[in-house]
Amino acid sequence: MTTTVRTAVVLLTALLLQVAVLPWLTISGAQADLLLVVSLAAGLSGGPERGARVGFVAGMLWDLVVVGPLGLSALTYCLAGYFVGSAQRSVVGPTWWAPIPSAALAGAASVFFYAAVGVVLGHHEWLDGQTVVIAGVVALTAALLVLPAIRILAWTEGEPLGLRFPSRPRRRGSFSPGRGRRRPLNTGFRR
Amino acid sequence: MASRGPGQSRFTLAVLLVISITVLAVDLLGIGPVGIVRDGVSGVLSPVRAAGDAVFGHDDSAQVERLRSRIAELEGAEAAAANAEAELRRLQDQLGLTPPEGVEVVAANVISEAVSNFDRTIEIDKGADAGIQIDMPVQTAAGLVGVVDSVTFTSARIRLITDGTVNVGVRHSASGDVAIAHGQGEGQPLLIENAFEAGTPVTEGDVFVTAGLDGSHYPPEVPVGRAVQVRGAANPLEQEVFLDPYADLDRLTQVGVLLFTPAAATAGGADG
Repeated sequence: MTTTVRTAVVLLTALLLQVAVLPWLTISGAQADLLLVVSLAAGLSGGPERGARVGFVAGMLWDLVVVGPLGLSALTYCLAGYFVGSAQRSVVGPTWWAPIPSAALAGAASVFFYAAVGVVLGHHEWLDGQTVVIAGVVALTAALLVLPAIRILAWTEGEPLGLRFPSRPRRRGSFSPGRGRRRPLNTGFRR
Repeated sequence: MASRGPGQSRFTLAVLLVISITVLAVDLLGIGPVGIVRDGVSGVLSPVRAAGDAVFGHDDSAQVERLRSRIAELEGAEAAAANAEAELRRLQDQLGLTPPEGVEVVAANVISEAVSNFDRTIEIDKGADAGIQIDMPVQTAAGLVGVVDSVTFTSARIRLITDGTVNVGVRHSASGDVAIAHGQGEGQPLLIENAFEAGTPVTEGDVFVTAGLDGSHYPPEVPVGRAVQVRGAANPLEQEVFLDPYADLDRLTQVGVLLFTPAAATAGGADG
């Protein structure tokens, strides 16, 4: 229940920021896509199923705001959240930096998918030179925002909301409190 | 949330995809209260957009400076404009057309740019309270801007003429030929496809105004754009014309909504 409520809060906040702030913060006429970032972060932090679910809800919310075909954003974000979650687990592996290129690639791919389906549905003007600019801006902003977004999405699943820096690789045999199962120190004496 | 197996994930994805595609189909077929729901959401978010505009919106000082230099430029072109006006009157007389009388204009401020990368819309601060209805034309002093797409009590969303779904009936001022122009996206000229016979003399710089044919959403004689490119169509007997809109769609701060409906035009005798 807490997860649902917190996810709803995150989605509504992203929606309000997208509507009130981002139209004024454009690069070459293109703007970031916060709801897509949230969908990608959900997939990266919670796996493909959570990415698909959050992406679907985020997309449906966004579809009610924009004038494009209803359901197209839901379809796009749902697929984006699912595939980025799958790729993170099966291909890339759990490194701290992996979400950055994953989010950039998924962001650009989502823009082209949205535009391509839009063309099929009659919006022929959606696939032009500006689409490349939009894909670039969405990819760049997704790469910049995905790590904080992952922290926020982890908070919706019950983790504390705070900064967590990536840990340095540990040497074999080094002791790290609070990580894994504790082993007694080898003092050289048998008890 | 604990992640379940890949089979469960795929099943969830499949269900969500089916729902999305069903919603898409329902929307495309125009079934259900989609428009009402969207209008409701738009009404709820309108104050949020207005707040964003108040904080991040247009910086008027730069625009005032730009307009001052523009005024100086326009004063020099005043004589040419007077000449063009006389020419327009002559063409109107030849075509037997006069601008519709009694069409009221509601001035409105633009409170939001497009909220999405693929939206060609703006939002204004006047709505149904001011008499605005869906499909009414919107213009600036320079020319046609778009058409009202949705309305709440206090705001309205305008779909710009560069949107691919907006079709405008236009008349070539020189020849009087009528065609349909449609948008091709942001920053792109409007396109008239396969309408003019190859023999029709259309040259770059020619003026196009709304045709205002019977049943049209646009009154006649609203400036739309000027020809910037003319080329042969796929059919060698026809030609394609590209129009550069007169209105500067990238810098809209104020617009006027023409309280014009086809039914009112027919009743008032503003035919075509």
